[in-house]
Amino acid sequence: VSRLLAWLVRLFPAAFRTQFGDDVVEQIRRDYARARSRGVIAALAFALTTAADLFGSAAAERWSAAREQRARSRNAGGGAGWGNPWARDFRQAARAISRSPGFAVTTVLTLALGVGATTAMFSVVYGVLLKPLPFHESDRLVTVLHRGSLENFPILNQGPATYFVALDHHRVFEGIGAWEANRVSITGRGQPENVDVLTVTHATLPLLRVQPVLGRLFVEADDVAGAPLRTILTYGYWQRRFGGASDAIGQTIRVDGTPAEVIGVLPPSFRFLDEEPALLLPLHVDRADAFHIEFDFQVLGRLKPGITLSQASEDMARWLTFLPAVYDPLELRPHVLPLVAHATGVVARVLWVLLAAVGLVLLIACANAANLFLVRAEGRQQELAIRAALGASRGRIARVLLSESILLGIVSGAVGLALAQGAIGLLRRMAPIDLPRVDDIAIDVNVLVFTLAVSVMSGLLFGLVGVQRFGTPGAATLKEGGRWASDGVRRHRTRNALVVAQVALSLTLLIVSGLMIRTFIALRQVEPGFTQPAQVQTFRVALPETEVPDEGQFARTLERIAGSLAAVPGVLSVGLSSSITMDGEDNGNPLYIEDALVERPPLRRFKNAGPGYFETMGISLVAGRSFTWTETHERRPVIMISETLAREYWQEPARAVGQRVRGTFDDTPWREIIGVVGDERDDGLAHPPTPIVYWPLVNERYVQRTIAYAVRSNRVGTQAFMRELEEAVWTVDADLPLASVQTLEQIQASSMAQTSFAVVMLAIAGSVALLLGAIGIYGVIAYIASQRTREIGIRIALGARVGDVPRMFVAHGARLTAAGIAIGLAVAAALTRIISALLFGVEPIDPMTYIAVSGAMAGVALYATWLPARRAARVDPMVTLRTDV
Amino acid sequence: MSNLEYHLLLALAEGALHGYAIREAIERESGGALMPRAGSMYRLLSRLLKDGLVREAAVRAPEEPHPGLARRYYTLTAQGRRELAAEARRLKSAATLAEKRLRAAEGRS
Repeated sequence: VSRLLAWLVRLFPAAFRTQFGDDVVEQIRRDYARARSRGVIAALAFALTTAADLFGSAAAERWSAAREQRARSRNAGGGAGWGNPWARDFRQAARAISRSPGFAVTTVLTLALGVGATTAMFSVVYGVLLKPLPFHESDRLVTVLHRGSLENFPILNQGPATYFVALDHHRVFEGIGAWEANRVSITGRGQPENVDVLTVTHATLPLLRVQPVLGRLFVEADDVAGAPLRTILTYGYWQRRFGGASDAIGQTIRVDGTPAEVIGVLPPSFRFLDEEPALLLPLHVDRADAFHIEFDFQVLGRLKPGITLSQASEDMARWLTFLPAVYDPLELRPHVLPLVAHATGVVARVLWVLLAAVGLVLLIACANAANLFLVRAEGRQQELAIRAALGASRGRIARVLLSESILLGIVSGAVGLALAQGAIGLLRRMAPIDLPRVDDIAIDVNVLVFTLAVSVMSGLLFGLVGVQRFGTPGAATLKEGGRWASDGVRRHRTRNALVVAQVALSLTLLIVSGLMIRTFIALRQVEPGFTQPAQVQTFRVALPETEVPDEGQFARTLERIAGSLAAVPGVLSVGLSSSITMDGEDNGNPLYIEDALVERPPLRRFKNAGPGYFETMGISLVAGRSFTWTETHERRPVIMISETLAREYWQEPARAVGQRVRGTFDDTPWREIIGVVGDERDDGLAHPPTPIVYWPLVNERYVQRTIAYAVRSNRVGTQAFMRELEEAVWTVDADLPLASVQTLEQIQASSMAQTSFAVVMLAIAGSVALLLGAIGIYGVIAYIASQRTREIGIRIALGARVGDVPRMFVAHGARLTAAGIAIGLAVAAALTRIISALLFGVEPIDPMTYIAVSGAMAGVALYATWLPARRAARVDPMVTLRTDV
Repeated sequence: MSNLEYHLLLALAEGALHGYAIREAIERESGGALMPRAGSMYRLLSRLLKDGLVREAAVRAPEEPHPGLARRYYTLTAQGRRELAAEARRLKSAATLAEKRLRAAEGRS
C-alpha cells in the first residue's frame, strides 16, 4: 500500500509533491483507516473516490503547471523546457481526443466492457485460485495426498497408518499435521446448536504459524488418548457466545455431551481454506489403529526452506515403501499439492475457461476499437503526412497514434474497473455458485495492476493496428485529389482482417456457450431418482453415543421424532436416512454376496435408511418391500439395495429379493435382501448412479448417529412450517439442534450450480461477443460504403440496377463472414477438447451446435451487412457526382 | 468562494494548523458535510498559497509524526483574513435575507 501511495503521489508535479506529498499520504492513510473501520463497502467506496480524486487533481495540477511553464518560457522568449516528450504527446492526445467526443465515447465504452469483464473474472480467478493463503510463507504449505489404483477413489487422503509412516520417516518437512472438518452439537450455553468444527493434531496450528489472541494452542498432551477434552474458540464464536469476555478461558462447554475446557482463542484473521469452524478440537490419531486400511482425514505439511514439490514427492515415494503389506494392492503413489489447491480442485477449470472466454470478448472489443481508430486515423492521413513531410520520424508519428490509443485504453480501464466493481458485488451477493474462498474476491492492488496492464495492452494493440496501416504516410497522400479516386476493396485489407478475426472469435465463444447450454439441457433431463424436490424439506440431527448410549433407545427416539413430525399439519410423509440424495455424504465399504463370495469385493456406498425414506423422497420401489419400524427395533437381519447393484449381480431386480449379503468376509450374520429401490443419482446428475446398500438404522456394524429427516409437504418453503418442524423435534428432545436445513430442490440446485454458473456466464460472454462482432461488421461495411458513394453514384448513373449495389456489399460481407466462420470452427474444434470435462451428454464436436451457431452467426453478420448496403443503394447519383467537383 | 475554500480559511483563522488537522477541522466545523479528499484539498491549499491567502507558518510542532519528517503548518495572511471576513459578511447577509423571506412566506400561508 505504501508503494502504491508513493506511486500515486508521483502523479503530481514535482513542486506540488515536495510541498504536499507527505500530507497527502498521511491524510489518505488516516481516512482509509477510518473508512476501513466502517466496513469493507465503505473502504472500497473510499478507495474508489480517493483514486478518482487523486487522478483528477493530479491531472489538473499538471495541466496548470504546464500552462504556467509555457507562459514562463514564452516570456523568456525560448522554446526550452518542454519536458518529457511522452508527457507532451499524452497532453496532445488528450486534446485531440476531446475534439472528437463521439469517437472517444464509443471506443471507451466498447473497450470498457471488455476490460471490465476481464477484470471481474480475473479478480475471481485471482481471489479463488491464485491469492496466497493468509499464513506466513504460505507457499511452503502443502497438502499430502495419495494416488491409488482404486477405480472409484483415484485420490486418497490419509489414515492412521499413512499418517504415522509419514510422521516417522519424512525428511523434507519442517513438520506435518493432520486435520479434519466435522460437525458437533454444543449444549449447555443457551439454545442447543450444531456447529462446524476443525479437528487438528497439536502440530497443525503451529505449522500454519497461528498465534492465539488469548490462552494457548494445543500441545502434545491434548491429543493423546484419554486426555481431557479441550477446545480453542475462533474469534467469531468467542464474540458470539462469550461476548468476547477474557474470562472465557477455563470455562467449560458441552461438545456432543462431553464437557470441554476452553484453552484459547484464535485471532480474527484466522481462516482455514473453505472451513468456517466455530471452534477447534484436538484430533486424536491412535498408533494402535495404524495397521488396517483407512482413509478419513487430511494431512498438511510445511516444506523446509528451498524444498520443491517434486522433491517432496520423491521423499514421499520413499516413505510409502514403509507402509504395512496390506497397503500393497492399493499401489499408493505420492500426490503432493500446494495447500491453496486443496479447496479449489474442481472449480478451477470452470474459472479458467470463463477467464479465457472474457479474454476473447476483450479481444473482440479491441478489434472494434481498432476499426474505429483506423477510421479516425484515415481522416487524419493528411495531418500525418504533413508531419512526415516536415521531418517527423516514423517513431514520432507512431508515438502520436500510440499515445492516443494508450490514453483511450487507460480511460477505458478506469471505466471498466467501475463496471468490474459492480459485477463483483453482484456476483458475491447472488453467489450463484459455491465458490471456495469467495471472501477473497475483491479488487486489490494485484487486480489493479492487472487492469492497468490489460488496459495499456489493449490500447497498444489497437494503436499498433493503426500504426501498421498509417505509420508511414507516403508523400502521395499530400497530393491534391488523394481522396478523389475510387477506393478498391484491397485498401481495406486491415479492416477486413479485423472483421474476420471478430467473427472467428465470436463464433468460438458462441460454440462453447452452445455446448454448455446443451449440457445444461441434458442434465435437466436426467432422472434424479426422487420426485417433486420442491416439496421435500430436509434437515439433520445428531444423537451421539455420549448422549444416547443405547442403540435401542437411539432407534426409538428417531421413531418418536418421525411420529412427531408426521403430526405437523400439512405433512404428507416423513422418512429418514443417514444420507439424502446428492448431499455429499460418502461411505464406501465392501459388500460380500453369498452367491458370489470373493475375498476383496468392490466398495459400495452404504447408507442407513429408516422407514418412509423411499416413499417420502419419491424413490420407486422396484421389487420387494421396504423397512418397517418393528423389524428395525427387533434388529431383524434385513437389508435393501439399489437397482444398479441388483442388476449387477442378478440381472433382474426381482431376483435379488431373498438373496443374502453381509458386511464382512466371515464373522457377521447374513442379511436377506427384502427390497430393491430405484437409483439415486447420488454423485450428481452428471454421474452414473452409484450402487447403494441400505442398512437398517441399527445393525451390527455400520450405525450412523447423524441422521437426515426428509419431510414431504405442500407447505415446504414457509418459515412457519420450518418452525413447526423444529418445535416437533424439540417436543421429543429439547436439546437437539437442527443442522443442514435445506429443501431437496436446493440440494439438487447446488449439485448443478457449477454448470448453471458456467452456462449463464458463457451465454453473457457469447451474446456480448455476438453484439460486438455484429457492430464490427456493420461498421466496416458502412464505412466502406460511405467511402465508395462516388463509385456507387457512377455505377447507378451508368445503369446499374438497384439490386446490384446492395448485392455487391452483401457479397463482400458474406466473404468476410465465411472466412471468419471457417477459422472460428477450426479454433472451436481445437479448443473444445479443453472444456470437454465440463460437458455432459454432448460431444465436444457436436454437429448440431456447430451448424446452428454458424447459421445464427452468418444470419446476424449478413443482416449487419445488409443494413448499410441498403442505405448505400439509395445514393442519388446526381448528388454524389456533384459534391466533389 | 467555494464552500470548501471558505471552510479551509475558517479552519486556519484560529491559528496555524498542519495538513490533517485542517482536514479534521473542516469536517468538524461543517458538521460532517465536507470531507475533502486528499487530492482536492491540497490542490486548493496550493492555489490559496499561490494567491496569497494562506502562507506557511514558521511554527514547528513539538510532536512530529516521524523523526525528521517535520509537518508543515499553514496560517492565514492578512489578505486571507480580509477575504474570509468579506465572505462571512456576505453569507451573513444572505442568511438574514433568507430568514426574512421564509418568515414572510410563513406569515402569508
